[in-house]
Amino acid sequence: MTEKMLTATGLCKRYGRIIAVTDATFSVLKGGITTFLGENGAGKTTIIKIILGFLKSDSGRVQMRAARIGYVPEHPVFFGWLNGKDILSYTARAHGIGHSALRDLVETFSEKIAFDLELLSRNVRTYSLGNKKKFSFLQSLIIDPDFFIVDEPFNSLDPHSIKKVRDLFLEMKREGKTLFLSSHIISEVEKISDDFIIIKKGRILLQENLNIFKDRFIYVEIKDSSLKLEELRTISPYVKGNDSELVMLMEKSRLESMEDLLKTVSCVKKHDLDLEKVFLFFTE
Amino acid sequence: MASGNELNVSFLITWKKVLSSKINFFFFFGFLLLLGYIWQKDSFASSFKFFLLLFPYLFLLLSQDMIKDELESGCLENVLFLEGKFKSYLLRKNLFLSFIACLCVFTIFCVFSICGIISGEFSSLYIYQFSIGILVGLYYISLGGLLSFYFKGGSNVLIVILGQLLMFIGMLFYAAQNSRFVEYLDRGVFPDALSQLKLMAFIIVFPNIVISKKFFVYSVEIALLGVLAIGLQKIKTKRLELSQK
Repeated sequence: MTEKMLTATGLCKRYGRIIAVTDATFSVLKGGITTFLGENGAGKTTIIKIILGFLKSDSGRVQMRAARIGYVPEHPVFFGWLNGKDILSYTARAHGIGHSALRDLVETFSEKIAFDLELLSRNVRTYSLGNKKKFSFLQSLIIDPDFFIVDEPFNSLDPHSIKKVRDLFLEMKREGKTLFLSSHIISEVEKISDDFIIIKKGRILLQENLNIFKDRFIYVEIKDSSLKLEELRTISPYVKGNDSELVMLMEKSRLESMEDLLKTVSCVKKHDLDLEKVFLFFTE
Repeated sequence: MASGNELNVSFLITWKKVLSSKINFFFFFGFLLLLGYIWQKDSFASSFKFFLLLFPYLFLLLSQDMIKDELESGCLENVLFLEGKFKSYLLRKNLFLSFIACLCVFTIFCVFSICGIISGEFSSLYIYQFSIGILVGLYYISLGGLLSFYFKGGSNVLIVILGQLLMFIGMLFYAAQNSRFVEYLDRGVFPDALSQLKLMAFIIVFPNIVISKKFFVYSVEIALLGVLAIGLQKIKTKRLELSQK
C-alpha cells in the first residue's frame, strides 16, 4: 500500500486577498482510505476542487494515477431540466456503459446506499438533501471509479444510510480502490480511515497513518504544573497550552523514562489517543 | 471520457435544456403564428421576407442563460465535468445551440420554399438571404454566449435587443437633424469612409440588415465579428473556475 494514487506538491490558492491554501503538500496512498480533516473554511474543498480540475492552483502541482475518478461534492447540484434517469444514462454513456449493464449497476448500488429507485423518474432538484447526496454517490459508483473523492460523505444522511455508506467504503477498499474523504464527522471517519491529513487555515499540519499514530502517541493533560512549556518541548514536539494547563502528545516509548518527571506534577491525566483528540490538538 | 461520448452527452444535455424551456416554445410557436398571419393577411412573399429578416432572433433567444447561470448554479461540479471538462462543455454549447437553431429555421425555410415553388413565387435570392441569415444567427449565438459570461438568465438577450432599440431611437433623432445616413441606408450606397464606418458600427448592433441584398457584402464583417466573439469566449473559458460561493 505504499504506491501513491495522488501527490500534491506546494499547492497555493488565493481568492483575491484571501489566502485559501498555502504550500499544501500531501499524498494519498493507493488502496486505502485517506481522510482530510479541517475546520470550516480550512481549505479542504478548495484543495479537492484543485485536484479535480474545477479550480486552478496559483502554484504547485498535482500528480494523479487514477484511471477513473468518482466525485461526490458536499452539496450536490444537478441540471434542473434533467431527471435522475437522464443523468445516470448520460453518465453511463460518457463512460461507455451499455443500457443493460447500467440497469444492473443502478440496482446493485441503489441497494448498497439505500437509494429509492422510484425517485429516478423525478427531477433531481425535487430530491431531499439526503437523496441528492445518495444520488450523487450512485452517479459516481456506476462508473466504477478506482479513485473516489467524497466531500463530507455523511452530510445530510440518516444514521442508517451513514452505516450503509461506511460499509460501502470498506467494501471499496477491500476491492483495492482508493478513497479520499473530507469530513467533519470525525467519529465516523475514524472507523474507516487508514491515513489522515489535518489542514488549518490552508496549511497542511500533519499527515499520518491513523493506527501507527495512535499506537505511537499518548495524550497527556497536565494541570497546575511546575513544568514549563519549553521543558516539555524537549520531550515532545507536540505540546501546547499555557503554564497552568498543558496538553501534549507524548511518545509511548518515552513514557516510562518520563514517569519520574511527571511525578513532580500534581495533576496528570493520560488518555489513549483518538482522532478527535488529535484533530482538536492540532486545530484548537 | 472518450471524445465522441463527451460530445454526445454535451449535446443531449443542451438539447434537453432547449426542449424544457417554455420561453423557447412560446417564441417559436408565436413566430410561426405571426408568419402565418402575415401570409394570410398580406402575401406569401411578405411572410417569407419577414421570416428571413427575423429568424436570426431565434438563435439569439437560444443563447439565453448559456454560461453564467450554469457556472454559478453548482451543477457543473459533477463527475461528468472533471479535469476541466466543464470548459469544453460550455464552449461546445455554441455549436449545439447553433445546430438546434439551424434545424428549426431550416425546417421552416423548407416549408416556405416548397410552398413558394408550388405557387411560383420562389426566388433563388431567398437561398442567399437564408444563408446570410444563418450567418447572422451564428453571430447572435456567439455574441449572446459572450454576454452570458457577464449576465444571468435572459439578460444577455435583452441587452442586445435593448441596444437595437436604443440605436433606432437614436437614429430617429439623428435623422431629424441629418438625414443623409438614413438615405444611404435606404439606397444601400455609402460614398465616403465615414459613412461606411458608421454602417459597420450599425451592423455590430443590428446585424439583420445584411440579410437585405444591398448589404450582402457586409456579411464578411458579421463572420469576422462572430469569430471574434468565439475567440473571446475561448479566452474567457480558459480562465474559468468553479469558485466557491
